[in-house]
Amino acid sequence: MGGPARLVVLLAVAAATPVAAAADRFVPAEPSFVVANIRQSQPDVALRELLLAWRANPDAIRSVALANAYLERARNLREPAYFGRAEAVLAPLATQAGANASLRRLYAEVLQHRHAFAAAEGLLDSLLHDVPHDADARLLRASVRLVRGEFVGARADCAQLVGAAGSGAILGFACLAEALAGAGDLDRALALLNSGLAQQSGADSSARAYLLATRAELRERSRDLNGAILDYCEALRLAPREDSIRAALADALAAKGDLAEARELLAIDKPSLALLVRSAALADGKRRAELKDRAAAWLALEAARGDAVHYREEALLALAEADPARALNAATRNFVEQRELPDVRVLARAALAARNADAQQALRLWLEETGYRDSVTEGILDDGVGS
Amino acid sequence: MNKWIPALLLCLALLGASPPASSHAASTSFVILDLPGRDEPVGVRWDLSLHDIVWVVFIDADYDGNVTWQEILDAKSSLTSALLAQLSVQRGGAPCTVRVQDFALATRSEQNFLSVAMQADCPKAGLVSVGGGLFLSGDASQRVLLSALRGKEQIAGVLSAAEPAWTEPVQVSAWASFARFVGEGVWHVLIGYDHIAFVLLLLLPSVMRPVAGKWHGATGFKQVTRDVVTIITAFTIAHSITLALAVTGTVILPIKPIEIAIAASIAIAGAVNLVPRLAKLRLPLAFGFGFVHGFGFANALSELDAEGTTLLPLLGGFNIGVELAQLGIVALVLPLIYSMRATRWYSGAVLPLGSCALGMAGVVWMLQRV
Repeated sequence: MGGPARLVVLLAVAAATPVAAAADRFVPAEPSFVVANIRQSQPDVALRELLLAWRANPDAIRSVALANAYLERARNLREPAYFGRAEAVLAPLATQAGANASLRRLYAEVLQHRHAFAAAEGLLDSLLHDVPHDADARLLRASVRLVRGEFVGARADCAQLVGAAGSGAILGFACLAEALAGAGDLDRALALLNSGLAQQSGADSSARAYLLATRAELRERSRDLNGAILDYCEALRLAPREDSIRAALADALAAKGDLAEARELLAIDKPSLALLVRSAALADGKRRAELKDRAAAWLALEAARGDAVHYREEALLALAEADPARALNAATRNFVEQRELPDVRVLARAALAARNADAQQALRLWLEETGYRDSVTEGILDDGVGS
Repeated sequence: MNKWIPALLLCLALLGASPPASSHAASTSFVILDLPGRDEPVGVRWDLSLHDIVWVVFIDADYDGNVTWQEILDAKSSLTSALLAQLSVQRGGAPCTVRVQDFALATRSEQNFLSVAMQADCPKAGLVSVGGGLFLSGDASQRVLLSALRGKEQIAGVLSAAEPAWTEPVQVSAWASFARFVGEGVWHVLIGYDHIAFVLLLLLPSVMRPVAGKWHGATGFKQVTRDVVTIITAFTIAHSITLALAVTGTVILPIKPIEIAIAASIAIAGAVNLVPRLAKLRLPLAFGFGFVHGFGFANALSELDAEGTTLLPLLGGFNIGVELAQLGIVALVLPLIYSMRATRWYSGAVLPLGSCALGMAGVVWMLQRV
């Protein structure tokens, strides 16, 4: 460990302690004071039956059924506890030799949720080696590879999905477009998406939202900010609970200078960390300080829990706090595992803010090697514009 | 996670990529321990989300979905039973008797947590352990963050379904830490050829006096010793300051320029020794380069495993160890060179050639480190 790192680590352990320790106690003056809302929308009879069956016999079939139900609720209700429950059900069986394909695929999804991308990809590699025609596993691996910037591998997976029947083909279209765009072929990727959107005009709204959001990102990278905003707006209309689309639209609006619209877009109840950090960056005065404190507390809690820290958001927060060294450190650590558009841009901005020529050069090299193109990143690296 | 795929998967029911980002963190409760001396009770505070408790205890008496403070007070008896059933405290391997003292609330992550103050009476002395069910309800992402205060030392721990118990780490006595780091300081100087080189370069001209642009042997061992002590003290004060600043994280500098600057300090000190007229610069140089060497010491200290050590014995011990080693070098070398000071061999060979050789070594190290 170099520098005074270990000592700083010692101090960091001490700094993590207040995460548990600091919170003033109080006793409500009014007995009617509402401490918490614990209402469940409806008793979940189906889940209860699956749970009872699993408790009676926790075999692979019942484990898959229960984990599937947990994951479905985790996605629909945005409730992280269901991911934890799915993991608790899957982990004992999925990590055993000879675990069936469904167990391994679901466990890979849980790993991806935890940002354990390398572990997820490794598990999917072995699964696809055993069951090459598992389209769901291939889609999942393609998405992991896209996140990690492995565009060549992702392209191979996506190409196989395009040939699949039904909804898998739609996914394959968008996935292939993302992979092509990752390698710099923005024009072909856009043509593919336009064709996909034309063919899938009656497609499911979420499928269409995915295609539109992907096209919006490509338009943004090709300097068509207005076109991107239109696509993001439509995508968000179709999938209003999708925070990643909301965050991308807010970024595009802010880039265009429509700060008030971006702020309004981000002002939702119980925002995710990604939205919270963006709100903090766009807010002023006392509100800005309050939002930054909330985001910082969130990140500190993740670190204290030992979770995968959201380094992208930490970098964005550090940039908002005018702390370029911390921003570059977080953005660099984030880029090891995540190489999507916001990851590329935040790294470029942090490297510029920190005036770190080595980091800028390393990013340039990555862009050259992959062929990745983004007009904003190029502007930051070449002209120092966009910090 | 791939940003867009989740939106699609919600409707397609294809098992694929990850879900949207969650709007809040996973379940976390907080245990705060006050670890007193051997015969006193252990203070325990447990802050929990009601969402974790309602799996076990029925609280919402009017079924309206809102848990009020009154409903908590009404359920105090069943809450107390559940809390005591879910938490076990041991000391020295023997179970402690835990009593609930009071209920309050604490705001964490923008939620109201139930904050329960407890006291654990333990029949034996020894290390404290915490475990039990901890309301871990089959959710692999649940965590219990533990913070313990032992004297002035704060200790952190994380409990989960995978690791549902925590034991207080063995306390490293301040004296044992101090003694260990004195040894580490001595050892670092003895194996650190660049620090030895710098100290030798400070020593070599200390037994000489510049007269009309030439070195002449100094008279009076007392005067020479005072001169050496002044210079070494200046060096010590300076490197102690930067060592403390670096170790506490107040100032963090990259290693490479520091290593280069240390090598440069040796080259410059060697050159200064060759010009008797520059003898006045020795004190400011020792002081100035002391700041640089302090960062070098901090780098060496950072390589050591300092777990369980508090800052004072660590810093104090290491600094004193460095000083002892330096004084050891002085004690060995000074009488020897003092006895040779009046010889032509010393003024004509040992001092210039020794300074030249060490200075050149500094140049080589500098080039190697660039």
